[in-house]
Amino acid sequence: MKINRASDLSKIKKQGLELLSPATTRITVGSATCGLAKGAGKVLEALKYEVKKKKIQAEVVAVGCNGLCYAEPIVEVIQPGKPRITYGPVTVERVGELLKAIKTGKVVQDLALARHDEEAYCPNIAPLKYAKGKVPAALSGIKEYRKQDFFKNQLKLVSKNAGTISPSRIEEYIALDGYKALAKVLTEMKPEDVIKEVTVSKLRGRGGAGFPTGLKWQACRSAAGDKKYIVCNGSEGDPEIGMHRSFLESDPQAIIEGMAIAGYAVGAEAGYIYVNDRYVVALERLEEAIRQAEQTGLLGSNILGSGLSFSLKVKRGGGAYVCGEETALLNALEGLSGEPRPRPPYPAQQGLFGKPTVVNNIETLANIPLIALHGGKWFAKIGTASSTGTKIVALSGAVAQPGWVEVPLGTPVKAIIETFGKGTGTGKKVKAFQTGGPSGGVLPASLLNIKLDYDQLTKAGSLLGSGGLLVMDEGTDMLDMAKFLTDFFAEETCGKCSTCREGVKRLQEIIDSIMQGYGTKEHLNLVKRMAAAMSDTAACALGKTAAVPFLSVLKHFPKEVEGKLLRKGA
Amino acid sequence: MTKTKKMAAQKSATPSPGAQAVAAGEWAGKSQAMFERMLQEVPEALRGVFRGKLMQVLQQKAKGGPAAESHVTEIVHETVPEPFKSNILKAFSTMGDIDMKVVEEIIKNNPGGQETVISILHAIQAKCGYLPQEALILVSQKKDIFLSNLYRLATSYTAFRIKPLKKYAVTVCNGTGCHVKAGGQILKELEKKVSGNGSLITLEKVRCLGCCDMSPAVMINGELYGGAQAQARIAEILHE
Repeated sequence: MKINRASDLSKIKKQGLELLSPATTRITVGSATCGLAKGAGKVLEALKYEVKKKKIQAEVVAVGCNGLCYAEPIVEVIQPGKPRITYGPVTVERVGELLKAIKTGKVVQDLALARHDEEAYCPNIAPLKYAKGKVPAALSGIKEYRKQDFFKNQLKLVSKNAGTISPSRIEEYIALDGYKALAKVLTEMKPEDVIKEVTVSKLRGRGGAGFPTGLKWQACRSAAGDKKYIVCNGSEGDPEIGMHRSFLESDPQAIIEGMAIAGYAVGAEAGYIYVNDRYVVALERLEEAIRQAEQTGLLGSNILGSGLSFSLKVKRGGGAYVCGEETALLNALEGLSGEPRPRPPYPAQQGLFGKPTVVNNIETLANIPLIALHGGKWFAKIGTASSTGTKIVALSGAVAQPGWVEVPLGTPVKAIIETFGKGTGTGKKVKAFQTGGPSGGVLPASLLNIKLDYDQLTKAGSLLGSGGLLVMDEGTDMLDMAKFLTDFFAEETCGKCSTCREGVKRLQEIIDSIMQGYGTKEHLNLVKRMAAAMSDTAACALGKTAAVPFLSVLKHFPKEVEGKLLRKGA
Repeated sequence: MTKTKKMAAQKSATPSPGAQAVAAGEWAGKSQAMFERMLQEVPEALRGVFRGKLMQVLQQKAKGGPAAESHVTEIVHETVPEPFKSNILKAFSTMGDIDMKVVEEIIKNNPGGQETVISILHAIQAKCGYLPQEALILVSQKKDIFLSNLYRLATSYTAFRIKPLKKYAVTVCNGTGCHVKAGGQILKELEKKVSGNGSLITLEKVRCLGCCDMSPAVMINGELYGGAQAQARIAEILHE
């Protein structure tokens, strides 16, 4: 249905709500890459087949990921008037059992993870009520999700829809107040007001550098140019992070809405979404989402009768870590090899095809509808004074329950590892952790109380980056870690700046010789001098920070490095 | 219209039955790809002149029918001097079984200049499994982009491969999370073994397979294996 008035959104909202809590049974299967890898595709097929064969009145829907990656494949059951039940891990063998329980109104107790009497999406949105009246006795044994540590300690704002709505149905996104922000912006706000709200919210880029988004937009708006572009950075090349992929696969419409609002604010009529080459599922879902938004009249010309035109294209990357850097990403979009451009001029002045361009991370853009809808002041109250809002954190490495969670900024790292990761899972203690992907420093367990905050982490010699949190237990050889991370940079350097290209290679050689027992004190001094030269002269953050992993290991675990140095007379 | 066809069309102004056949785009089998490959040996500046001359010869050989693969091979044998001759014949023998019409279709579906190239390379790889030389040559021709430029993209971006996959595509996750859980060890062992027994395995490493709870994760021909399971499957393959 194509709509051309903001008020028509309510019609689609009604359709969507009927899909989300239908008169019959709704069975959802978590089908993001993390679920698919564990066989969610087969579970989905089996459920569809059995439902048809057994003539059960139910709709089977593929949804995204709710963060419980350790319990994939996740299946959720919504029946009219009853609480929503989360099951996991549901294998193909247990599908029959599950359907039998659904038919007879019972529960498969050992698979049940959580009960949702109602879904409280966002502090300012009325919750979606599932349970009516008293909870049936059969279900009362399952713990309500808000009483569970995993859900209780999260603040799901950006990821509120993930795992609930179908990524390929725009109605379900609209049902949970989707596109309400765009409608509000187009009917009630001037572009300057939008930028002002974003500035007031103190939202900072979620990709790595943490640059204030409002300033970026303002610079692009003031830049002279007949054409402007909005680019969504979905490169996410860090070697242990998949939460933005999960997000794209779960809730692609949120990005589209965020980009349309950004387009209105800076005066751009076209946008590109750059997606990591391996994110094939995300790519398909984004393309489908764009098609639906166009058909609904939420992309294209004269959106909701406001006169705003905005079109979007998805571009698959070629696979290079450095393309997460905004100017290298622009080169990749232009079909060139991924090498950073010298700055200035900044992309806000001369970006894609030489035109003023805003490059924002997926998560940054996903925050925009929230800020536009609830106001910058509301947003600024969440998190800490200088780091506002929430952050999606990907937990990996030595944790019992890897996955992703969304927490307010300012949450201590220790709490995240213990509450959501459930410890190391190996019986050993935490030895070190690393935030912000390979460019972040490796920090020792003594700093576990540090808060997830842009400035605190930078001060400690690491960075918030795009939100990876890698945990290492006491069995980890720190020098080996440093070598692994340095090897990563050696592979991913584009070779444009000589200090980065050569520096990383020499660093690799030096670490190798230390590992083989030929390292000397002079080597360590040389590394420090080299690192200073790299950070002074490399064109992009990759080169500037390539020596950080080794230097941080040297700083926090000096014994592990110095113990391996060649001794006099040996 | 392609440069080749344009050139052929100009020639067909002089009524010759052969010219019309090739001008209509009738290339049997891989003949067009072979013809273009042959021209790659000619320096860029002289290529236009050679193209016209060789096209005439080809038309004479085709005698009104479609240009066949054997015709191109004959031309190479008769007219090309060494060492270019051996180079070309060697390239012909390693030429994959690629349907050039598919490649042409892909190029047609992506109108535009340099900015379309990465999408085109992805589409070709999705169809062929890798980026065959003859396909890249065609892209270079039709988009008027240097072949070296295309090879730069094809080799600097990790998504592309310029050699076909072998029987088993083994993808080892080399993300930091998997490395912490001994993924690096699996990779090291495999690298050693594959170099000795490499005929069946294409070894690739990726940064994250998206299933950190199964780490160390290994994907073999699209099927996911975790930890000990992966080791067992790899041992089976190496035994083959």
